[in-house]
Amino acid sequence: MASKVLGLLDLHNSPDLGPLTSSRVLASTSFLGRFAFMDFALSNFSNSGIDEVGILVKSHLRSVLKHMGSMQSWNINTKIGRQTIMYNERGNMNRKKNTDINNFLINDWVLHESKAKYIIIQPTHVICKIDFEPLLKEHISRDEKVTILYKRITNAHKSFATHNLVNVKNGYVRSFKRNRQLEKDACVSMETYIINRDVLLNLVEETLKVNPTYSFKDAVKKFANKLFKVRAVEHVGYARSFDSLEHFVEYSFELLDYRYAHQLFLKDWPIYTITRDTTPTLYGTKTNVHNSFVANGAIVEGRVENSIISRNVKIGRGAIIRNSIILSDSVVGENVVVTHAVIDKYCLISDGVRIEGVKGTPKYIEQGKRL
Amino acid sequence: MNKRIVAMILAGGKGTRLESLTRKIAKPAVSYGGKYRIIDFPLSNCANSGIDTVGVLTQYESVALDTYIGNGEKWGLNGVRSLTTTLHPRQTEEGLSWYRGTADAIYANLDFLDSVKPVYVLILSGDHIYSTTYNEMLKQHIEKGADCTISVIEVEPKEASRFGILVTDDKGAIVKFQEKPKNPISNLASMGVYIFTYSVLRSMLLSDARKKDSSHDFGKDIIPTMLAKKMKLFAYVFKGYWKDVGTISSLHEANMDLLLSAREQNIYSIKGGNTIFSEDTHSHPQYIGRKARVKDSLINQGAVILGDVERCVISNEVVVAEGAIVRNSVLMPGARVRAGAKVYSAIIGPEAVVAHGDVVNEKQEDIVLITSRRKK
Repeated sequence: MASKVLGLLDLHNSPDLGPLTSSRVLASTSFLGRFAFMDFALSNFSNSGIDEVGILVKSHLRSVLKHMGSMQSWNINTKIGRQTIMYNERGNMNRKKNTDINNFLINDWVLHESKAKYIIIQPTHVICKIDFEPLLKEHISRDEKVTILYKRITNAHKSFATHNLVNVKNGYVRSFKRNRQLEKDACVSMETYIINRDVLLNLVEETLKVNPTYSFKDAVKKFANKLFKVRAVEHVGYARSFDSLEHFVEYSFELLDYRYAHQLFLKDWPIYTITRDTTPTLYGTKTNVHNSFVANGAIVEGRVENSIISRNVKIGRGAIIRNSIILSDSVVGENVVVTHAVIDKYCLISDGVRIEGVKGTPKYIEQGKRL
Repeated sequence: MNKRIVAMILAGGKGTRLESLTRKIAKPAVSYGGKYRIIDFPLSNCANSGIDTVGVLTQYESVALDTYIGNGEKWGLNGVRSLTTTLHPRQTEEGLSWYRGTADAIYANLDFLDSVKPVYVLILSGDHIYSTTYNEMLKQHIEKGADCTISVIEVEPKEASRFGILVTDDKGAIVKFQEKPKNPISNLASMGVYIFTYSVLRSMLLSDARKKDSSHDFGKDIIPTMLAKKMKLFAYVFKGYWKDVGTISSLHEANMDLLLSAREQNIYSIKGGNTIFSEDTHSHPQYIGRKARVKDSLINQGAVILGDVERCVISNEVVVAEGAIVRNSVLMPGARVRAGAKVYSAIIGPEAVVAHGDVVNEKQEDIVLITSRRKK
């Protein structure tokens, strides 16, 4: 697939996770203690043999760049492979125009310069495993212009809220509509597309004539069955849309269950991330740890249950962590109690402090807080 | 290239006393501390010392080791001003010959050293566990105007006969050297870490290569010859953790030194302020199960612990099944301990399996090694 396909990571439609994404984008937000969200989409590209990758950045460029490094972690061939940051500078001046469509316009040289005939677009907030190789093969052999992935779900009233619902007939999309969360059973767009380069360039042009504030998602909705037919392919398997702090917590904990985890962590499907050269996790003589993910660099001397402990976190003696997520480099003192909470990075929780949230509404402690 | 200092790491040894653990890999590539291989230590030490040019001399079962070293990227030794290369015995106009000794290995690669034109050459062992920078040692070497500086460590008198033992005068100059003496006259042991002024090293190696009766070894031949010639040899006293893991039980002990309960050490005290760089496996997160019990252990990413582990060092992709009990043991990458199995005071080699209900080393009189792999 080396030069045929350009994989694009679209950060424009990432939902707002409240305080968790106030100083970073979801793409670079910590996930399961050792990953960032963008690792999953990038690994989908990498494991599908896609070497040429572009990242459409809407904001918080610093945190994206920090996680990307030199991108060697995801590249298959570092010479053939390439990566490009597509940053909408004009969009930063005019927030209404900070859309992926405008980003395509400003950075259209990426599309012109690439030899790729096919563009694959993925969001970063949908965590799933997709092998693009068979999908692309089908797209090409059927001579399609646009292919979209959708998922059949039974809880559309409380998930995939920012996504469009798709009405599929005979393998093609008849129409898109907003998910107003009125129905439970629905087919939701995964916001993952295969689109021919010339179709994309034309779509950008046509969209800007109609409405310069449209997103790519709006544009596909508007022009489907007018400029092109949209082939619909069902994604079978694990997929979650991380669209709120509550879902971030709920879906993270869900993956502690092997029945879910084994759908995402497959033997021949590594999830690549950047290396930090941290030591393995150290457990003390009086620890008690159950049903938890614990990352390298952590030192655990207390009790941890149903929780996710990220890199370089220290849990003091006698501390109790339950149903909580602690992001990297935070220090939890002795005899601290943390339940139903999300503690952001670099926090310092002094001995004996209690942080208690309620199931479904986690207590959030902002980055760098000292308590 | 004009390099001030170049490191040459001797990594060709088999490590016979590590039994079947080194059947297919050289000792420097042996797994240690849950995520490292032994050679990560000298390579990280070079990186942390700002040494950017490293030759790794490999010979015994070199494929796994060469692949691991690659271009030095894992230790950041692949930058535009860096050079990391593995150096193997090779065919030349004179024919094909293996490295006959530590000095011969360097002699055979004098062309490499000539091409990078170093002022000083640092000679290291690829199979020692210690974390340091070599900057102070180099500083002393320059200040003393030495021809050769040997890093030494104080050892227990009863241990001294295992090492090359040095006697120094009150200025630190080496006056006497005994290789593995029966009756050691000092407790300063050579760590096998040398800094040579390159011009001196070059002429010593050239003349040693011509000697028919030489075993071409630094400890047995080069150092005694230099002493006899009254050249300037100084000792540099190293303080800190240093382990030459020659046997299964010393490898086990060095792993246990990394635990929080270890009396004086743990992984953070051993690495000091330095980072030990290593391979980063593409593992899933480390998972500790609902019924698991984990105490006093060091566990790497990708491990799945569903059973009961205490005083263990556990590598990536290890699985300890529910109901299994593991005590005082080292589990290397991909090792499996099946349900109901019990493991005491053991090293379970890479990809090795302890079957359902098996009991390993219940008597615990000694450390045992299990390397039987599962059928693929």
